[in-house]
Amino acid sequence: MSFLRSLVELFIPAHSAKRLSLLTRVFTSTMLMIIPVVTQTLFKGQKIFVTLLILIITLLLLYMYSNLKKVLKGLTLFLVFIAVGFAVTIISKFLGYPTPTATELILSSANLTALFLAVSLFFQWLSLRELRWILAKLGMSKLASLVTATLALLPLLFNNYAEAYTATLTKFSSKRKVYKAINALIIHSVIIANDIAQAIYLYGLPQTPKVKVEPPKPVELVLMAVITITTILLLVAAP
Amino acid sequence: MYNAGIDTKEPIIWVKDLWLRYRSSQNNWILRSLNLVVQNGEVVLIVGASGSGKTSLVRALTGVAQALFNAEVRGEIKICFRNLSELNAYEIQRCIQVVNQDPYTHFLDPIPLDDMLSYAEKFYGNDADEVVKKVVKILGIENIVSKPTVALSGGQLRKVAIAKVLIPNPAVLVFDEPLMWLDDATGLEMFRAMLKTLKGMKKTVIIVEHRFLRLLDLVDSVYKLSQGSLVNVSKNLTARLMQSDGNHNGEKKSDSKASNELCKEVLRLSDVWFKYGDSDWVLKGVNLRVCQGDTIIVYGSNGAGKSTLLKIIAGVLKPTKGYVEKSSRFVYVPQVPYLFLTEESIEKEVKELCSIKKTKELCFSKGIEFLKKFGYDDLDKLPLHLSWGQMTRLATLLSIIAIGNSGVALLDEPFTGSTYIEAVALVETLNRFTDVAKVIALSSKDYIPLFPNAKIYVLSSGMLKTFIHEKHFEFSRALYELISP
Repeated sequence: MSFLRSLVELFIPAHSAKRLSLLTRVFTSTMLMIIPVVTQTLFKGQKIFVTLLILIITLLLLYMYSNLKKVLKGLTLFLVFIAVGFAVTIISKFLGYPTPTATELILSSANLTALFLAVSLFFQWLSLRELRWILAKLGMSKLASLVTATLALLPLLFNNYAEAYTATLTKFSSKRKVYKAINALIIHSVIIANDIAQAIYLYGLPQTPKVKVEPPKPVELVLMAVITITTILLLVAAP
Repeated sequence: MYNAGIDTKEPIIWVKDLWLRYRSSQNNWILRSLNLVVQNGEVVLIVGASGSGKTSLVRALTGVAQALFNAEVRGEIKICFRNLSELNAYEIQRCIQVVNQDPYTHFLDPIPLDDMLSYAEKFYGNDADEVVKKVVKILGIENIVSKPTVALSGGQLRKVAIAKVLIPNPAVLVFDEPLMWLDDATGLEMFRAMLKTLKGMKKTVIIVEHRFLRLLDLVDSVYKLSQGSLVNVSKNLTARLMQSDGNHNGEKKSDSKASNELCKEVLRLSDVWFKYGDSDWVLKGVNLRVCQGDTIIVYGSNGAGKSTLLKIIAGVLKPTKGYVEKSSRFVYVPQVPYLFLTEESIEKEVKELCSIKKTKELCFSKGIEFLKKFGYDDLDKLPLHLSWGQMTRLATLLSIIAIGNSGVALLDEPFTGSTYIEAVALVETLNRFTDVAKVIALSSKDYIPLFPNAKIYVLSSGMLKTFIHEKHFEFSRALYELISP
């Protein structure tokens, strides 16, 4: 339960990120998401230097604009993905399917971790207001409202799920009956859904926000240029 | 006793012959021919037992009951001089704003500041930023408004919710249990100050509240909701209640004489430190020893870390440093009561709890009898359909049934949504279980005198210290009974 809550914390917007311009935040986090996808699809994840570069940059940015604990939580994901990959490999071997080598497995896991952390960086760097504004600019206003309402309540849901689990565990004093927490969670989800409906009824759906778009500072331009140029160079020249 | 009468001046809220029932309530009318007249600029207090229909009345005034709760509503409701049915959502929002019992109903964005900005833009466009800054300053919430809602305590979130409803500058403000989870030091005083400001601005205010004594001097009229109708509480009785509010005993020291020799230790916290992520320490070296039968009150302001402490004892959170030793059965009842309730009926709740006991049938019959004393007569009722106060008390009573003869009950704000009389009855019941240790988190001093033998601590700046309360709030039970159902 605490691991789930930690994961959810990776997707809560960080106020400190607003020191960077919106353009920089969107461009950098999107680039960091796209590169692992490109590496995985076009090069089967076998671009070790690109993967390392993206991992280091993402972790560095997470450290600079959120906190060290989140970075460490992010790193534990790497181990989780390796464990999952290893389990899949064993099953594939057992069923007679072609299996990746250990190097491929580790590189793919690193790539997946980089992608996951970049997605988390994206959500930490953009407030839901900004996300709603971007989606509205892309002509998806209704989707924007639904997505933001859902994302807004995820941390609360996970927080309360952990509480319901413990409350049920102590109530029945037995792990055998802890499945009953599901009932409390269902009730909780219904109440939360009702809360949202009330909030929408009382306040209306949030309008497309007015977001100030400031030009990136010179240092931010340098950051974006370094990420782009280094990645291209490494993709072309490095193993 | 008479129904709130119709005045000759055109009132801003006008309710005539209002009937309301939920489809799920087996045809029982919650509100029965209710009349209410509120003049422009009037401050009205509505009191009543939990489950008497106060929240239903609030829902009816904004149309939420009809639109979202599938309620059948008959009668006439006029707000801001027009029929409620004629108003669109925007007009309703400009006329009337409600601070709900559950502060989570107010936010669609995890960062309250962003949420408020989005809402303010709807009314003020480019000036939204200024308006939000202004309301944030009025309520003194500058330091919490940028934190995620999940990082705020229930009381802190309520303050932010109050700020949000002020944004459209509505003519009428309705507060449904505004003091729930609010502490005495900042919460109550903040609300009183805000009420004075609203009175100065000639706003119409309707307050539905159980902890009403500290608000009596600021309201113009008091109504009691009983058996579905509103009854005016006479000025004479209100004045007597206000006098009783001034009843304080002299200094009373916490009765912390621990019977160390006889102590059978059930819980020990040793040098417990805790913080969320990279934030400041919430708990700093907390030490606590609980013996069988002890009642421990942990009092503190909003955000002091009371719920965090209980969650650490329960095991929801792990201490960053230090350790917790438990040597007895314990049950944790969270601040949000429905997280404790797992069954589709009250009867099933008792049955399931007793199914793990050796004396199942005896436990069940005693449990049912126990709940009936507290007015839980409809045992087939889905706990979800109870009011917040009824749900909180049910969860507390079930925790006692679950523990049985000895153990530890961890109760987070167990008097939420309870009237004074209901709180007294609950405490008397808790006190009867002398072998059960209770660790109770409270943000209001009002209830401390109900536990004369408790060890009382205050949690402040992360440290747990013995609490010496200079003013001892005295319940004048006879007077409360006049106002009880």
